[in-house]
Parts: sequence; C-alpha cells; structure tokens
Amino acid sequence: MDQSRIRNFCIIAHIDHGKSTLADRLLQLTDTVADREMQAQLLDSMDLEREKGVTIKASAVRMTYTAEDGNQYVMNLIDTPGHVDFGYEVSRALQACEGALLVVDATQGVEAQTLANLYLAIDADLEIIPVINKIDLPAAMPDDVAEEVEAITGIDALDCIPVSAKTGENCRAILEAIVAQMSPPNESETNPFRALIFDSHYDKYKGVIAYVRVFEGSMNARDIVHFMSNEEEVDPIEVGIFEPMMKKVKTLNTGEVGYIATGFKSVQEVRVGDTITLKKNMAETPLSGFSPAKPMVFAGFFPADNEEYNELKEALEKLQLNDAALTYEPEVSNALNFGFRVGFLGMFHMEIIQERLEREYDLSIVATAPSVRYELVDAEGDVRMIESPAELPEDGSYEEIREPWMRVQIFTPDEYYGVIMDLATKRRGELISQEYPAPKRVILTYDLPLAELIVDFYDRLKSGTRGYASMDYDFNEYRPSDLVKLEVLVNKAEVDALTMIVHRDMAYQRGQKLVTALKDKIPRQMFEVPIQASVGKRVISRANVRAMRKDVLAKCYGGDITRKKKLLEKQKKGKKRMKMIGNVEVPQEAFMSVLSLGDD
Amino acid sequence: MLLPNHVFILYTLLRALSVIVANIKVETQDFASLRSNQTQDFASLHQNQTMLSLYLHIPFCQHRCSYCDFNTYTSLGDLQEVYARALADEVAAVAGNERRPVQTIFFGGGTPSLMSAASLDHILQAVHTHFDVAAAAEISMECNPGTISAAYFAQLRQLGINRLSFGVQSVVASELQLLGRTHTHDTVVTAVRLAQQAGFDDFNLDLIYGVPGQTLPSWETSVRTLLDLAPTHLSLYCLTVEPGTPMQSYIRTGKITPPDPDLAADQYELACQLMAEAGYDHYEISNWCKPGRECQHNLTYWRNGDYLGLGAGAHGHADGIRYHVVKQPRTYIKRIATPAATTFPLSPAVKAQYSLDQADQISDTVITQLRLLNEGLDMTAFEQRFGRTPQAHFGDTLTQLLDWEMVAIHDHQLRLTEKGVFLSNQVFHRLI
Repeated sequence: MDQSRIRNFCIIAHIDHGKSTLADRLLQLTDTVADREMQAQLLDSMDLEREKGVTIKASAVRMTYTAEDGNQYVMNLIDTPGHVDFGYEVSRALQACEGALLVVDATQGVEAQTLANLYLAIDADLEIIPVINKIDLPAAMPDDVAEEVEAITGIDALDCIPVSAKTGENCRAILEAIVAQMSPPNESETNPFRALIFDSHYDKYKGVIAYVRVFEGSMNARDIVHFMSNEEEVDPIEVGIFEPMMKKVKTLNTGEVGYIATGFKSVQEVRVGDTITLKKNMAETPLSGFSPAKPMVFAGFFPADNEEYNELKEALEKLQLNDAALTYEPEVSNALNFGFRVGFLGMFHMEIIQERLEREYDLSIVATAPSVRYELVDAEGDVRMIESPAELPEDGSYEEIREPWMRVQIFTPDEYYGVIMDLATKRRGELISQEYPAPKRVILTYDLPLAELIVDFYDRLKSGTRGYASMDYDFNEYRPSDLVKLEVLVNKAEVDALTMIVHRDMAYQRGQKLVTALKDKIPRQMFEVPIQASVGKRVISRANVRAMRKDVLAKCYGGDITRKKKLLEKQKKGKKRMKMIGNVEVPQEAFMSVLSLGDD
Repeated sequence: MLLPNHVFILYTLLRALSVIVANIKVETQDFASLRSNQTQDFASLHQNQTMLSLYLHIPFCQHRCSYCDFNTYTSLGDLQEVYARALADEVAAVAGNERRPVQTIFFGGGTPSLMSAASLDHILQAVHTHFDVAAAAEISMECNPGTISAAYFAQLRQLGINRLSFGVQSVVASELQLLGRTHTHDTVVTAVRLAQQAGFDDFNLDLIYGVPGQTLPSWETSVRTLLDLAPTHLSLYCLTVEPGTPMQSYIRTGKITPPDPDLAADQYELACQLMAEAGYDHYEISNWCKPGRECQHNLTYWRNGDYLGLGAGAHGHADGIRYHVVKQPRTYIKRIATPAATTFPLSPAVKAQYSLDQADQISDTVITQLRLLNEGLDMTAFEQRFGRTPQAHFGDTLTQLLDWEMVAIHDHQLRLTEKGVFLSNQVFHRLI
C-alpha cells in the first residue's frame, strides 16, 4: 500500500460524547462491518466497558474507503482509552497517528479530559478535525460549541463538522475531511524496521498480540522480531491487520497499522510504547517516548472468605496477562488475613479491576483504602519506597518522607470556581494557574498530593459542580511532606488494614472522623469496645461501642424450635462473614470507612 | 391392658368426679398433693414409655394483634366445629393402637377460648380415648380475657382443664391499643376473678415489654398491677418485631420509633427484681412462677422432651423426629379427612418432617435446656447421650463463654449466668 493512501487517526472525546457510536458509524459507512453484523459499539468489546460507556483498552480497525476523488484509502482508526488513569496509553496511541478527530458533544461543550488529550495530540503534531456530535438533540448548541472549540484550538469555528453519529447525519463529511486534511505517513521505506507498540492483548492460542504502527521499513511474517526495551526476540506466530477481526497478512509495510502475534505468555514482555525492530537488520535507536507502566495507587485486596485466597491469586494472574499496569504482591493483615497489595494506574483502574474480580471471577473482595507510593529517605540519603501505610516505621528511623504530587487540571463553568477552590485547598492543593479559554469557562491548574486525590476527590468535584467540572491529572513530582502514621486501635489492638498516612495538620480531623465512622459500623459486642485513633502512640481520638445488653428470643410458640434455631443459624452465618480483630467482630464494610471521610 | 371402651367409661367417671371436685371447691393444697401421688402411680405404670406432652393448636381469633405472626385466622370462625372434629380425628390417627402416656395438654392459639365447650369436649374425649392421660396431668388453655364468662369457666373446669393462661400484655391503655389488643385491664381483673371463682387456682399472665412508647415507669405499673392479682405464673416476653406484621410496617413507615434495646434491658432487669421481691422463681428466661408452679408443658419443650403437635401449623418433636402440620385450616381439615397410612408421631396432615442427626440433637439440647435457669444443661446426661463432655465438644467456644461469664458450671450443670440470660442468643448461636 502506497503510504500516501494511508490515514492513521484516532478519536479524542470525553466519556459519553459519542466516540464509540461515531466509530460504529464510520465502520458502517466504509462497509468494514455489514449492518447486520453490527454489534452496537463494536470497539468496546468488554461488557464492563459498554456499561460504563468508556473504552478501557485501545483497539485498532482498518477501513477501506473510496473517496469522492475516486481513490481508495486505507484508514486505520486507533481507539484510545477514555479515562484519566490511562494517560500514557493515550499518548502512545496518539503517537501512532497523523491526525485526530476531536469529538465534542453539542449539548455539553469541551471537557477537561478532552482538553488534556487534545493538548497531547497537538503536542504530537496531529492534524485536528473538530466534530460536533449529537446535533440531533433538542438541547444541541452546535454554534456555541464550535466557537468554544475555536477559542481553545484556534481552528476556525466554520471548519467544525456538525454531525449526529446516532442518526448518521453528515458523517460521510468526516471521512472526506480525513482524506483531504490529514497528512499521510511519510517515512523511510528503506531504513531498518521500526514499529511502535501502542496496545496489546492476550490471546490464549497466539499468546500476546502486539498492536503496532509501522514507522520505518517493512517486515515479513517470517522475520524474527526484536523488542528494543528488553531485548526479547521471537519468531512471530503470525502478523496481520484488524478488519476488524484479526486477518493474517504476509507483510507489514511502512505507515501501516497491524498486529504481531508473539506467542508470549504475558503482556509484561510486550510493553506499550516499546519499539519492535528485526533481528536481521536492527534499528539503532528506538522510537521516542517509552516508559514502562507504573502503578500509582495501591490497595489491599483480601478475599471476603479466607478460603478463596487461591482463587483470588489465580484471578489476578489472569487479569495481569492483559494488563501490564497491574501489579500485586502477597500481603498479610492481622484482621483480614492473607491477601494482596495490588497496584493500579489510578482509582478508576482500581475500580475496574475490583469489578472484574467480582463479576468475571465471582469473588467477594474486601478492599482497604487506597494509598500511594511514598519515598523514605534515610540518614545516608538512601531512598526506599513503601506502598502500604502499615510499613511506615515509627518516627525517627527516617530523615524524610516524600509523597507524589500531581498536576491537576480542572475544567469548569466559572460559577463553580469557589467550590473548586474550597475543595482543592482542603486537600492541600496549590493553585498554579487559571485560564479562561472561552467565555464563562475556566481551567484551574493545581498541584495536589495524589493521596488527597484518590480519596473521593473526583466524586466531590462532580457533586460540588453538579457534574459540570471535569478533571485530568498527571504525575508531577515527589515532594517532602510532614506526614504521620495514623493508626487505629479496636479494643486496644492495632488494625493494620486501617492504618493511614496523613498530613500532620489533618491527622486530628481524619482520626476523629474515622473513629466516628467505625463506631457506627462496628456492632455492639458482649463487652465495651474502645476505638482509638493514634499518632505516634498518642491517642488523638476515642469513642466506645457500648456493650450489647439485649439479644434474646422470647418464646417458642407451640414448640417451634426449628424456627428459633434457624434464626440462630442465620445469626451465626452473619457472624462468620465478620472479620475478627482480637475478640471483636467487625463487618467488612468497616474496612472501607476511610473512603468516606469527608472534609466537612 | 385397658381397651378403648373401658377407657371411655373411666373418662366419663373421672369427669363426673371432677365436676364434684369443682363444686365442693377442694383446697389448693389438697388438689396438688392428690396430683403428685397419682403421678407416682402413673409413672410406674408406664415405666418404659416416654411421657408425652400434647400441643393442640386452635387457629382462630376475632382480631389479629399488631405484633402477631402466628398461624391464626380471623375469618374462619364457621370452621370451628369441623376443625374440632378434624383435630379429634388427628389425635386418633397419630395414636394408632398404642395408648401412650400423656402428662400435659396445652391448648394454644390463636384464641382457644373462642372454642365452644362442646368442641373442646369432643377433642379431649379423643385424647382420653387414645392416650393414657395422667390423672394429675396439667391441662392448660390460653384465654383471651375479653372472650369468656363465668359459665364458660365452669365448663372448662368440668372438662378437666386446670390451668389458664391469659394474654394480658399490658395494663396501660395506650400500649394495649398499639399492640392491637381489644381488652382493657378491667376485663382482665374480671376474667381472673371469674376464673378463680370457677376453681382455677393455677393461672399464668403474659406481659410484653420492649413495646414502642413504653417507659420504665409504665412497665413497672404493668408488672406491679399483675402481681396484685397473685398469679401462680408470669411470662414476660420481649416484643419481637416480626416481618409482615402491622407493627413492622408502623416502624418502617416511621409511625412509631423502633424499640430501644437498652430500655428493654432495663425493663427486664427491673422485672427480675420486682418478681424476686414478690417471691417468684425465675426458672426460665421469660418465665417466673410461685414455687412448684412451673408450667409442666413448657418444661417439656425446654427439657427437649417429646411432644406431639396437633392441629393446623402445630410443631411436634417425638421419637427423634421434628415435624410440622400444614398451616391452612381448610387444607388441614381436608388432609385429615383423607385417609393415609402414617406412623407415630406423624399424622396425615404433616407437611414436613426430618430426623434429627446427632448434631441437631446436640444443638437442640443446648438451646432448649440452657433456657432453664435453675436446671440448665445436665452435663452428665449430655456425656452419656452424646459420648463426650460438653467441654470436649464445644472446646474453646465454651471456654470463651465461661471467661466472659456468660455461662457457669455448678454441680455438673451448665447454666446461663445472670449476665448471660438477656444475651442468650449470643451464647446459643456460638454453641449451635
């Protein structure tokens, strides 16, 4: 295929702005998928994605389009993940393209997520074609939104393409614009082979499938490939293209998008962002921008039923096959017994993994409050990482503790300025800048500790702004902080699963709230149970769960002992689901108390 | 061996005698001593047989109380006579050809006092025909204080009924109203006086605490007022809000606030003190009596003994089997009318039954016998029956309960402690 007839593009859109519907429509218009085979939103193949209305894994589809100029074009649509946690994956997908469709909901306008990805696309020198979607809705304001797009991107409002992906109205104009406005790949066909891995998935017959965009050179299906980051080499099982199902081909050429079936057993070996070259004629340098996936958020995952430890382990192993960013290590808790410390890209990633464990593997999980990775610096200046608050040694055994700070962008109607300032300040946020890209719209940029971000910040942002504000964040730096270890004691016994690392200024307030939350969640026992929060052995908050006084069945009517026994058995069963802290029975929800600690 | 027609003659004679006894108003003391002498002879006659208790369920009420989820019906009054005949037939069907010894009979409900004396007579005749009822047997009947008369009490006496249980529940009008009771306290006083005049010297009064809106002083009033009536027996029940009852919906819809468990505990403690002061023996979690006046029928339940459940929805336990009878009175009547081959203790109207394995027997023994505060669980008997001591069987669980002072051991009897009584479910669910 002549490079000039190839168009590689992606779609940038906020959740719910219609990316998947539009992709479906393009597949239909190019006859890539026959109407009757159309499964709504083909690109989002996981149930969970379809339910949440977001795309978790990037995908790629090759379409063939005969344009009005009479020529046939190959169009590769590279799908991008639609959530803040997957920023790195997004950047790799963008790198594989020459252009991007910026899809904006005609009823909503531009949102922070879109904006963040748009800036990534602009940075990657992509040609941007703005598309105003959902013009069929009564509340659509395509002209206002087009002006907003102009204000943000500098692209003339008149160049925005108004469409309805739902009805198909004007969608062909998008395909024509792609042909006319986006540049084709223009790379050396003779240089050594270099292809970018922008996604992967695990196939039980063909091993890990690497999704690639060929930059330079070309490869034959029989060539041995070489992975430049880890120097792995493999004789591919097959190479092919997505049409949209996998289809074997003999060669992958300059500018094309396709796949290499590696036979590897885990995605850890096939890293997104890595460069593939050929053993017989190796490229000297990899393509730019590779960095291995790094989990940012950690939580203890414990099986609700202790006997399901092995099932949980196997489920995590299987999920990891397809998810290079997921890490886990065994962890032991005094209250929750054996489980894992699991690492995620962010809160959303964590939620998805938890849901998949529960839905696809039928496991019931007790998850501890998420935490971040702290850096401890000792007297010699050596740095050690801790991923679980319980690992933090008592004061004195380290010189300094550092925590990750994020650069957070919040895009909002300006009427919520005060609400957001208040929220960010309470979470130790530092205002970096404020911009007004369009009338009545403001972009607030903060530096904020990740630890503050992962405890219901997003939910509060959404509820405080009636859903109008949107947010994006990126790792910025590690900073030293005055952090302390907040411990919880239930009936004088420390509960490791509830330990938190908090800023000293917030320790008292958080401790008090945690104690109150626990007091409400722990049922009365046969003895009084003191609940304490302490910092460095000093109790800062305390409450008592009073001893139970009444638990009696009055009468056995007409000798119905069976019924009485059933009630007792039910009670016993309920007790079995409880976790034991010493002699105290604690319901599983109590371990999630930390998540609902408000600021007010 | 006695034949049924001999028995009938005997029964008729006894009835005549009891009428004379009732008329000449035998002193309480004499009647009780008569009973105990006869018990001894009766026991030696049935040396190798298990003594039975009979529970007879009467599923009719004029009005359903707001807390009640028992098997009772307010619109089936027409069925009473047919039902009584079915019940008599069930008695015959269960008994088969053997005349087993019976030590207690209990008419429960529902409202047994809605039944005509003729209907009760019909049922009791069947019992006496097919079972060997001890002359001193305790024959109890539950009464709604609002549905009786002097003549009716006299008839009950003639039938040999010798113990009454009145559902008083409260003496406070507002509480009675919330509970959906239609009587007033004056009705109770009248009923008790009439019963005493008819010769009933052994009667129980029920009270309920933990009622929404009830206070500690109002509870004290109820208890003291009933003590003034000098009953031989008092049952104090903590209100259980049962699913599907009007009470539950009052609470769910916020019409009334749910009962406070701490107040219920205070009420219970107060009752324990008042009852002790008045000379009552606290012999079961919810029951008090004058010395020697335990309810023999309920003792059978609490000693995990054998009892037959007869009548719609009744539960029985005999020969290592637990069973219950179909609940709907019409279905029950139909089932009894359809002959079916059954063996003791089952009747053609039994809906479900299961044999108790050892684990069931152990847990049943524990949750029944521990309710008896003086007797408790006989650890020697436990070991003999189940082949190991309770300590060996329950291990650390029992040790912990002992450490918590929820239970204690005295003379090979395992008993709930004062602290354990009102938290007994916590003890039971750990031991089952």
